[in-house]
Amino acid sequence: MAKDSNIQNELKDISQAVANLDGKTPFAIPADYFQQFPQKLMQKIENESFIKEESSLSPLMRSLQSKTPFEVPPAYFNEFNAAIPRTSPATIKLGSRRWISYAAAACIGGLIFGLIYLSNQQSKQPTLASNSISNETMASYLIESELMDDSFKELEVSTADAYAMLDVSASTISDMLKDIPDTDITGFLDQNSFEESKSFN
Amino acid sequence: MLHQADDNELVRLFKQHIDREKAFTTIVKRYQEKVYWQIRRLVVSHDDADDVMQQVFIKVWNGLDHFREDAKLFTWLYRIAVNESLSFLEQQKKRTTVSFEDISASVEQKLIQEKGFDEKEAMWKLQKAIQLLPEKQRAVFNLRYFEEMPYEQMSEVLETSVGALKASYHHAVKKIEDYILHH
Repeated sequence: MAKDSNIQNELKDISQAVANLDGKTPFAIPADYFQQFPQKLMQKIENESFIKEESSLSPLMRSLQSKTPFEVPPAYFNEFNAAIPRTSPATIKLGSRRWISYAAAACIGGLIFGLIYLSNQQSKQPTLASNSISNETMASYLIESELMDDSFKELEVSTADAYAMLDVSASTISDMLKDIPDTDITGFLDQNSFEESKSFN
Repeated sequence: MLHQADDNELVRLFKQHIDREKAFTTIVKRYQEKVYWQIRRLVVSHDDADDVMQQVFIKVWNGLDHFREDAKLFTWLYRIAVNESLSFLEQQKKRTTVSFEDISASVEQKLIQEKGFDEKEAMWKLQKAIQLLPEKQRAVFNLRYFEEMPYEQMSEVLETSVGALKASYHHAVKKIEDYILHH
């Protein structure tokens, strides 16, 4: 049989060597195989099917009649329908309020959960805060605070120096103290000299 | 006469239990050779092919009542034949694995046992090369090379996309070429 030209061309494009081969199938089959096969097949199907099963029943089974020996009261089936009680059709209540109880339960549950969650969050806060601060932030904070300390020291020193540098004359002091009674001044001096000596000791 | 009836008519007669057995026998006679060769090229031995073909047509007998006539009867038959053959080969492979036999050696043995085997002859060499392909690729090659089936129909038979089939056929031909040129 001549090969389909499209298929042959496709084959040539892929491989000239395979396209040049004789595409015959060399297998042999028994003579009359195809003549006998349908009959052999039907025999097998019959062996496996109910047709064969029915015909292969034992003589006793075959002799039995397929009729059921039971009897029913006369006109039973005519009366059977009448005996069925009439029932009103079942109604399905669409306006069920069951969903309200579900919604309420969900709200209460949500509230309890929220409260537990918030209390947990509050107890965890310091840990979370310390965990959330990165090393870099912490380092920069420490450096800044150290600088701040230094500047405060400088400020203290400069204040002390400023007081030391104040040039206060005796006349200015007497002007300033002229309205204050002597007893108050003596008391103030006694108190300060006592504290000063205490701090030096 | 039933042998003049088309496939749809035969299926209808079978389904309606009108000349059921005659309609079925007509279908068997019409397609047995094509189905047989499809199976034989996959399983190699005649005895195995005969067993598989009987299984195929028993399945057809049992399933024809449910066959949807929107598909072609021939395509359906081929699909059953390929699936049964692949299942048979799979079972055989399992048996070979259990008995620690070499699969390629058993395939070669089957070919050697064939009547008229001559490994120098190109058609036997071709068969040997085909048997070395993976099972599904072998089915693809056989349908295209020997049956000259269009890819669209192959796609229905093998339930694979046309693109995948073209690629598979291309690879199969290349492998066969390699075998032919080096042996």
